[in-house]
Amino acid sequence: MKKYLSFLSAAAIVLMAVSCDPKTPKAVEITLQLMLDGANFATPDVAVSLSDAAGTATYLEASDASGAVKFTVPVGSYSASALYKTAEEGVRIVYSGSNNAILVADATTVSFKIDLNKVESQQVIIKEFYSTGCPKTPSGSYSDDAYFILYNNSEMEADASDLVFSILTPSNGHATNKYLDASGNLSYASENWIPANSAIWWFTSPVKIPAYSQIVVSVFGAIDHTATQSASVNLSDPAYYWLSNVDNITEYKAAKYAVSESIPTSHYLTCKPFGQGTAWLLSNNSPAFFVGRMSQSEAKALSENEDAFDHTGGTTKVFNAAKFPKEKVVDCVEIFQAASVAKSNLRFSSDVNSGAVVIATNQGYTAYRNVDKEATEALPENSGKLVYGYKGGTDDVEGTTDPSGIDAEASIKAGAHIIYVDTNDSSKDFHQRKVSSLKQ
Amino acid sequence: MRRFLLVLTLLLTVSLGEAVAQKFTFAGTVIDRSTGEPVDFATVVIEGTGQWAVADGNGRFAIKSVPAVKTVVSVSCLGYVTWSREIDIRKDILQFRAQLDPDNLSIEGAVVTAQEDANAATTSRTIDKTALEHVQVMNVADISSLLPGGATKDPSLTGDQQFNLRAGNAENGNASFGTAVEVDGVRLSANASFTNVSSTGNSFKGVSTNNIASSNIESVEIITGVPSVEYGDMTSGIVKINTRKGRTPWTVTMSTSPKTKQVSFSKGFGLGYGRRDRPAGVINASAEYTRSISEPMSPYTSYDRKQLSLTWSNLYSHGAFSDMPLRVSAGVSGNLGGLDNRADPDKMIGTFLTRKDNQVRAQFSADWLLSRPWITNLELKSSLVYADKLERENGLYNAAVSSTSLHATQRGYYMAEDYVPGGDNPAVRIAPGHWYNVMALDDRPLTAKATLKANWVKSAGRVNNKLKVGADWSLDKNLGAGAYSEEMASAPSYREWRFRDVPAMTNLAGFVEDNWMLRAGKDGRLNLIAGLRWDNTLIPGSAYGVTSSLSPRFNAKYTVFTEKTHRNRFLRELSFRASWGVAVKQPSFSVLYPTPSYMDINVFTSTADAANVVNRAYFVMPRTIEYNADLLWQRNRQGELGLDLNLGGTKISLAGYLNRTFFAYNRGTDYDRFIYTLTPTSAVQGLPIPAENRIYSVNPTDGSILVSDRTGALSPIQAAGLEKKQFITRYFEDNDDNPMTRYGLEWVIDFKRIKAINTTIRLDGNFYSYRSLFTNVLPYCPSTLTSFDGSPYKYIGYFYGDNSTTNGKETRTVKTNLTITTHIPKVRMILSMKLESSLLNYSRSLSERQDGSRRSYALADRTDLLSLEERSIYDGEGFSVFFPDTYCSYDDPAPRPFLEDFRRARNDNPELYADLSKLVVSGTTYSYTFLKDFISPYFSANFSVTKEIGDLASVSFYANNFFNNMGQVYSARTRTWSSVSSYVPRFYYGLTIRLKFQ
Repeated sequence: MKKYLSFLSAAAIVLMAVSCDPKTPKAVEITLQLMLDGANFATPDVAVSLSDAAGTATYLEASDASGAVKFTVPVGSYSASALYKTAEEGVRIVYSGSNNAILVADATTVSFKIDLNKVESQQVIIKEFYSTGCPKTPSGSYSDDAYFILYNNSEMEADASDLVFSILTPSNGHATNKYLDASGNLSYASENWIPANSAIWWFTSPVKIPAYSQIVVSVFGAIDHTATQSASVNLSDPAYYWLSNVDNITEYKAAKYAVSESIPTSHYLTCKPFGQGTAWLLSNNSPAFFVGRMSQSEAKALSENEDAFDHTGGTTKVFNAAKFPKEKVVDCVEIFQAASVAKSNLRFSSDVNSGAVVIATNQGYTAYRNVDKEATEALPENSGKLVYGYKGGTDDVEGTTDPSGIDAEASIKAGAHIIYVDTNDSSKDFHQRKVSSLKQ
Repeated sequence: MRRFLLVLTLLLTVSLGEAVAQKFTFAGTVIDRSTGEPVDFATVVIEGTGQWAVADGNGRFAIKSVPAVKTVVSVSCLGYVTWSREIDIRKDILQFRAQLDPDNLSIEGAVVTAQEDANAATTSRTIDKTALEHVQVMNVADISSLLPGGATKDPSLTGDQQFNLRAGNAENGNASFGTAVEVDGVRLSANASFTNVSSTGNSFKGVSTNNIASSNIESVEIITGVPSVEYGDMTSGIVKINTRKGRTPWTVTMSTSPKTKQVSFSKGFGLGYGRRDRPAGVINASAEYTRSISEPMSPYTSYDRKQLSLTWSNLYSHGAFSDMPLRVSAGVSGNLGGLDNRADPDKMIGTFLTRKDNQVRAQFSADWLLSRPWITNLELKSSLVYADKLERENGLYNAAVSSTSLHATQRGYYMAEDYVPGGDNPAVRIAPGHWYNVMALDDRPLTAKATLKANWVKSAGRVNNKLKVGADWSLDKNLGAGAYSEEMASAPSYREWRFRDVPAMTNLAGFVEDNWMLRAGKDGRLNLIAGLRWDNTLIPGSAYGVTSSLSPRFNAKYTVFTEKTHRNRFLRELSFRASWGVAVKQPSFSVLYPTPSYMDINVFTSTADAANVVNRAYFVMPRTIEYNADLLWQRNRQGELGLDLNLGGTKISLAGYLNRTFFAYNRGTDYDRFIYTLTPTSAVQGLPIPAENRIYSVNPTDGSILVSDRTGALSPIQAAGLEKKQFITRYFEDNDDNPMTRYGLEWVIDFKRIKAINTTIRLDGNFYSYRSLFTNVLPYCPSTLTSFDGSPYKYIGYFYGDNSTTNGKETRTVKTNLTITTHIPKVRMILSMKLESSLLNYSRSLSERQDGSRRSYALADRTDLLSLEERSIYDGEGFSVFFPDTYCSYDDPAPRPFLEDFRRARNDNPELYADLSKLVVSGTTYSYTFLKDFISPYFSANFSVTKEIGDLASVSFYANNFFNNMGQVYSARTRTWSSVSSYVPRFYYGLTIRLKFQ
């Protein structure tokens, strides 16, 4: 019966339209109200498209301050969709919604709704992390060339000014972990913090990362390491940043801590070291590194509050750990040393990260982010620019490679925009890359 | 002391005032029991008087002017078992016959354990050739395992080994440094060495025994009790090593074990007769080559010992010496060798470490038997020991940016500059890349020593008296160049420290000792010995000046009766002994002259150019070396009680001792204040002068950095610097305020031989207790840290017993060995099995003051440094915290009470609280730090066999830990099991073949 009535109504509308003016369809003004969680989505300039059923015409309008969108269209059957992307404090937020049952039947104003969904994701992620060293000339291993790459995984410029960086204690995944109980559970698993080790670093000047772009942060020597170590990397680029604090950390006066003239002082990071250690304990074996977001003053206060330190690792000052709020963690990578996987333990609690990427030390291997194949291929601008057949993942039996098969660096060179996966599981988010992306 | 001197004077007066008694001649023949042939070069000694003679080619000997004496006469000769018997000389004895048995396994009574010296008034043990060959000693220090309760160690020569008598490992008090080692009377000393110090500067090692050839040792005497005053410069016993002397056949020895190979040759040549048919003496020659590796699986890092020894000895008993025979000996021994890892493929390519262990030992001695009423004999001993311990290490260096090597020794600022050949740049800039450099440490200690000693022996009735008076002189000097680089252009940072510029240390000593033997009953006797040694150490050209010390020593032994009169009774022998004495250990050069060190602060680093070259400036602050004029020589006060029994043929020897080490050498620390200027890298980044045109210079006085334009286009720019205040340590040699205490009991039970199975059983062992409490108040500043405000750390804490969680330790151990020896003379074979056991292994860390009061607090909450509990840290498990007593700041040197201010700061001064918390010692990560630890008992079994094949050859084989016990032991403190391999050496074996021919 309902089908029958619908058919009759549609037939009547068509007959009326034909009978009125077969060459000039009657225009009807309709209003689409954007809704979020049952309330008006009062945001201006949200792009809304309205397509007729035949797919011959698509109308575009933007919302006003109340979240309403007005279209003037011929009577007919339409589908509407809305998409709005924004970023708040480095978090990429996408609002999207559609309504496929819009029937415009007469000249009266007709109102419709589009219910929006809200999806959040981090803008800035760790694209590549390298601290595990490379073969040294003439023999041995070289690990003064550690760096990490921050990548804007979104189509909008990201503000990285408030990003901070630290590692967890213990410094190695295979080291004795005092936070583990007899059952192998982390004592802070149910707490709202994780134990930051030695120092929390922050930028000293505003930092913006354009869409699908990156910045490189040198950890020890911001120089061209390839001048003496062919297997190493060149970290002297003026665009790079440097973890510097030569005034405060004695060990940082050692010869390996140097910065190229080309790098401006505005690219120097700083910290307030805590604990008895005299240097940042970035292990070249299996660190658990994380990026957080908090103001400089907040990071400094966290580094100075002796009474708030956690002493589970040991009451010696060297084991002082700052309780870093989990909610402030933006991204992280947990690394296990290939030779010590069996005796390694995860240091991030499962609500922050699960899994670890296995990296063999002293081979020049890096932890490189896997490509989100579906999302990357979905970007229309990537058409014809993606390079497949990625061979950069390691052959090492302990390592894994990128299952997407997309050669991210080659694709970027070809002009593609890459979106990397971010599942908060280092074993799925990263793979062992045989050669640093900076050496391409 | 005054009382002692009075007694000594009285004794001397009595001695000197005694009437001269009648003299006799003691003469006879020494023959080989098996062949009836005379034994030439046999030495006959009248123990009670010290008089001696050497048998001539017909085996005849004569000792004239012998006072009436009832004493032991011993006859010894290389290759024969020493013969000894008590003789009552009360008339001329002219036809005495001593029959010597050849020293081989065909005779009864061969022993392979350490033997107690029954005639000594203090604890003294001898290990003879049979035992040394049976256990196949490669390093003479290995014989420690033959002492009561001694434990076998993993044998290797790639690490230095020392004697460590009546002491444990890793203890305070420098026990091995205080143990004297002599080879044929030549004192080996570490006094002139600069390298016998630990890396922390707090402990000092004794001489290494690695360079002593083991194949040519005839016997080793170890005196752990209170020795004669003629022995000085030692606090922890004496080891006297005697090499073979006399005519011997060729002896060829070949040894092999997984880690060590050895081949040696030796021969004692008679030189025949010279003018007027007088003997020209005997030359003993020996050569040994030993090679040891550290790890059989990687046999590349090795230690070599190539040693050649020549000793000439002769007796002059004709003509002018017919009544006053003179025995002369001269010898030289040279060793070439050392550690070398050049062949080790596991090392970094091109790197190596070689450490020479070359040594020359020369000695001359003369013993003149005057047998005059006013003097019995006169002895002269002199020796010279020179060692070359040059260490060369080829290191691989690399730097991604230019690096700096500092050689400056004066306070000031230095900008690193490229090396100019022939120059003496105090700060050398080395270009980026990798390079090799050989650093050398040239340590060449030289020790010369001479002793002149006179004995005067008298006898009256049942009383014998021997007065010994002597003087000795020793000189220690180092001829080494110290540290240097073989290529200055690429040398790492180091400072010249020429050992040879350090003044020599001379010691002059005089000693007097009176030895009384009083006979009581049939064979009872009382032996009383009192002696005094006066040492004067002169170190001209230093603050130490002249240091004098007195060492009184007493020994008493009462032999109630012997087996001679009680052979058929159950209690066959009974004697008691008691000793007390003081011994002083001279310091070594590493004690007196700590290596100068410097605080090098990188005050400026420019940005790197395209070639990664940076300009670095350093502030060099020499650490003051303060020669402590109040330094006292380390001394040991030792008491000992002994009891020897023979119960139905079972011999029991007990020795209890109490040793206290006073003024142990230790390194003291203090702090000075200084200010320097630091210019951060950011201060020169982006300056108008282009980077490629910059010339950096530093003001040597104020540290300011000036950037000049090499083109002259722009005026120089002074970079903005920051003023930094900092402390610097300075070191001085110091003494421990609180003595270390060691006491123990040693027992040796030799059960009656089971004749039916030719077997003897020995049960030996020791109980050992050690307690040390470090009570010096030392300052400490964690200078590598920063203060809350970002400046270098600005507080100093004054810690009772240093800034360690613990300031002492106590241990108690019981170790017992069961040795079963089967000797079958008919087949000339001896087998032994030794079961080594640790029955008690107790230790506990201490944290307390000298009076036992609180030093550390128990914590209620380990995360709250002020949650202090009233309970003792020793009461159960828990965490603890330790605070300095006082502290001061950089700006206010007046000490303030720490805990009071720390508590207050927590409430009202968070910055001060944060800073002071860095002085708080809560350093233990374990809750069981102060719990008592008991390691569960563990065992190991060793097996050895020696078989002689006629007189031509013998074969020895041993297997240590032959059950390959790799079990686990339990720690009561940590409640964990761990491998016993930390306590027991792994299964190990060795084989030796000896060939003898004329």
